Amino acid sequence: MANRFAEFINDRTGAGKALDYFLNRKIPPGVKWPYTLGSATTTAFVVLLITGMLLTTHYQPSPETAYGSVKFIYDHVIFGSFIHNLHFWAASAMVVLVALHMTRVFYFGAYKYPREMTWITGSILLVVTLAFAFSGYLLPWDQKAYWTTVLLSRMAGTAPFVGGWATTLVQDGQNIGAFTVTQLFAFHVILLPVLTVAAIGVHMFLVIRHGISNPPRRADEPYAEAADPTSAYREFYDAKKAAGKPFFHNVLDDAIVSLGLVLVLCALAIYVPHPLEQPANPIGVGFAPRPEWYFLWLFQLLRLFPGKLEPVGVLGVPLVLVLLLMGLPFLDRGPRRHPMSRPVTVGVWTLGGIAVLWLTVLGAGEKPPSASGGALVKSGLSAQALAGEKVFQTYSCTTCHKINGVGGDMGPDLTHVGSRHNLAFFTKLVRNPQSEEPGSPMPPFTQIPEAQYKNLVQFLSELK
Amino acid sequence: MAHVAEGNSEATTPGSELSRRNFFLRSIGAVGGLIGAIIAVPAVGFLLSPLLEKHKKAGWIAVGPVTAFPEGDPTLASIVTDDSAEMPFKQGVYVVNHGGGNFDIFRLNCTHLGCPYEWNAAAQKFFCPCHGGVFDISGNVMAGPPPRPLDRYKPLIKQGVLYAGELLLGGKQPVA
Ligand code: FES
Repeated sequence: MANRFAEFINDRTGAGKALDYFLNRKIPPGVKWPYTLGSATTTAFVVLLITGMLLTTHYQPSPETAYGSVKFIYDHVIFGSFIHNLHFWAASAMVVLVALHMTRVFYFGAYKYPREMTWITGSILLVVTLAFAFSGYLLPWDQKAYWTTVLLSRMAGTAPFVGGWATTLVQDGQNIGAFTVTQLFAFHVILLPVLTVAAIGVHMFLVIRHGISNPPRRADEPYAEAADPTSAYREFYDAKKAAGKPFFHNVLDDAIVSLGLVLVLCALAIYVPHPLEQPANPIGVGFAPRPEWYFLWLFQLLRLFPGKLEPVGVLGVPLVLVLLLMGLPFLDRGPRRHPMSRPVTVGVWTLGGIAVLWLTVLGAGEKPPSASGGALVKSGLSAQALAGEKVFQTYSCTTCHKINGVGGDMGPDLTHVGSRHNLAFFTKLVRNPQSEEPGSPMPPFTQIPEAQYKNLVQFLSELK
Repeated sequence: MAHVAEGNSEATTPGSELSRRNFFLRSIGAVGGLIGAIIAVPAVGFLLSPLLEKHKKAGWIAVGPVTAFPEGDPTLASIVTDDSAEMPFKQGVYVVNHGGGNFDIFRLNCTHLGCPYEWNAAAQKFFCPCHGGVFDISGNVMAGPPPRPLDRYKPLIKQGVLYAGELLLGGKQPVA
């Protein structure tokens, strides 16, 4: 019975033949674990698709209902919090996996002839993944979601010429509002998934069409010396491929890695939950939004480009990065694939990767100035200086100044300021910064009552 | 027309087959393009409507009774903006009563990147938690990256109620 059914399906659809072709196509020798990253990324996407669809069944996109509906999912729906957390972690995982997969392809030189278009569709998938992350961020409509979306859309708004339009499109008119939620919702659950599925389809078709690239070895590179390196590569690759084993030998590796991924994601969803914060509050003063970790580097980049240069950092740099990424196969056209044979490209990529990682770590390590106070522990302070620390907090000095890693970084770090300047200097400076440091951007603090002022400057002078 | 005549007499010569093929491909392209355009024009208009839409002349939105905003320190409030009346949304504002019937209604978004700044009564300044923007009680930039004074709504007092009108970016040019 089952057999006849299978036969019918095979005969009428040709599915068996296609599957045969897929599983039996030859894979060049040496294809091992690093090659499982692509299928793991796909698995993360499928998890997102399923959990996302489930969340959509309860989610209500409007400022009045969004938070409540997510809260309902989290608190009342069976497995609701699990599905919510799984969606969150799978999203993070997908960003990581796309990055790792691209890195593997990069170091193996697999973006070169004839796989340029495979690389470009992959780059498109990276951009789409980040667009997913951005558009999904607002949907829960909690404090963090709301204010981070304000911040990110204003960042887009700094673009020359089109910036104003960009902000207006994301925000309804001049405000983040109902329209913002519905619009991002539509992007997130219809446009982007359709784009992703299509791009994955093309990407996989190309992977099968060109065959899996072989791991580069310097000993293999004589083909690069040929008069026509492309056709020499073809010949070389075809020979490699013919010597390989059928694909089904590799599928188990892929399956094991994907299983591991799913298990890790489930464990994270259970043990490291990502609950909602307070509901979005348009008058939530003093809230310092911070984007999710995968946008932290961008956020941090902002600091390196102050003032008029801001758009360069926020938009110029990412735009150039994306263009460089997509153009990679045409920028690095040499026939050699081994990383040691293309030191410049590999060097630039590695440095860029380190820079992004470093900015992310820097951003993650940053503690935003807290209004709660009491965090500036500095031992061995006199009683007067301790009173001065309170004044320091009261007058929001932490907004701009860091002590022991806590506080903003517009102004100088004050952790050891007492060893650079003396009491007399501080006494003049805080009331009238221009007197001691002409051109200082610090505003004068003239309202501090005399007694408190004495404590404050004493505090500063004891910061050794 | 020439294609048709040729095709009728010599359907199998490679040359005419080719031009016939071209003719069909072009026609299919034209028809497809037409279908695309028929859908695309309204679709693009639909998507861009927030850009193209004329901002309704902002009506006056009630902020609250004047007595709710004592002189001195700014008071937090929220207004229901009328950008799209069918989907109202709250916008935070700081109301400053300068005395003598002078009011400022500041939009609660830092002019740098939109963070919700906060009034510090002790320091008598607005501080932005994001990148250290500082504004004075009149909304002027005292420090930090904000490029312009606070955005504010035109104030109006009528029968003891404070109303917010047009949004003025940086306190000057109205939003187009
Ligand atoms: S958003 Fe206020 S200083 Fe940047």
